[in-house]
Amino acid sequence: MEVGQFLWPTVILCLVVLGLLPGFALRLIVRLYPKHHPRRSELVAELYVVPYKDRLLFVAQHLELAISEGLPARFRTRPDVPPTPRASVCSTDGFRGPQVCSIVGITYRQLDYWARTDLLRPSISEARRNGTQRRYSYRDLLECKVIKRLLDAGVSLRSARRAMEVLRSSRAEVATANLGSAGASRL
Amino acid sequence: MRTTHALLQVALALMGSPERRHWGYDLMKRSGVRSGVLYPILQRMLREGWLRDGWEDPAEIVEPRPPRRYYELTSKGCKELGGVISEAHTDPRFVPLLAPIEGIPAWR
Repeated sequence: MEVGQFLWPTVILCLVVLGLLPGFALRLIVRLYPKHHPRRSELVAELYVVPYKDRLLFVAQHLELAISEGLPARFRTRPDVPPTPRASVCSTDGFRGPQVCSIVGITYRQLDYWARTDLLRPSISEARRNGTQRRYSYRDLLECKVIKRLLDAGVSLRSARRAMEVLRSSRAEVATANLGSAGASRL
Repeated sequence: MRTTHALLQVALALMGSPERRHWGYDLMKRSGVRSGVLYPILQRMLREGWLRDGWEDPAEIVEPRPPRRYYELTSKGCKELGGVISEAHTDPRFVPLLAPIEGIPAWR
């Protein structure tokens, strides 16, 4: 069996995948980055503004980027965050993302999206780079619960965003808002 | 940060309009630096505090696409990058790179 026999079909297949299905190819490529790495959504979002004729080159370039930046990030050790014991949920340095999710009952994807889009930023510490964790305060937790209640009641994310802005600017007590939103399902 | 051709190209692209938000693909186009080099440079600038980043507000997007990440120069970044560019003017390595923007007086 000759190797050359597979060469051209392979090249053509690569061109078809990269050229005709750039979105698909790029979504596969960004998976080289570790989970929740901002580059995963950043690069895919950027593809939407690239003209069609440049997308082949764009995807090919990002394969290089993902290999040179994403893979090392994946294997980098995380020395500066000591593992927190699961029992100490209410530790002095706040709540971690997964804890917030399980307490409030939302998915990590939602929480991550809210943090990135400024709907709910962790007030104790932000995730600065890989390995550092977001830390949420008790107040954040209450706010998170309010947002969840609003969304459950059928309020759109945009309205919830506005509601939270009003809530924050009025410095109202979040705990009361929590009770209020529980009753006002037609907000 | 060591001044390289790529860094200088990115610096020129950023400082071309220091006030506004910069986007990844747009920076690639304007600086002529490929993404494999550009993004690590942006990452370093973020770490140094020369840039700050953020995500578009999904409520403001008209087209059906996810929010994009933007980069903005901080005042520290403006100063540092201004320094990088004005130093590059004294470096013979960068003469061909700086020649086309000779007309812009701010960096002389």
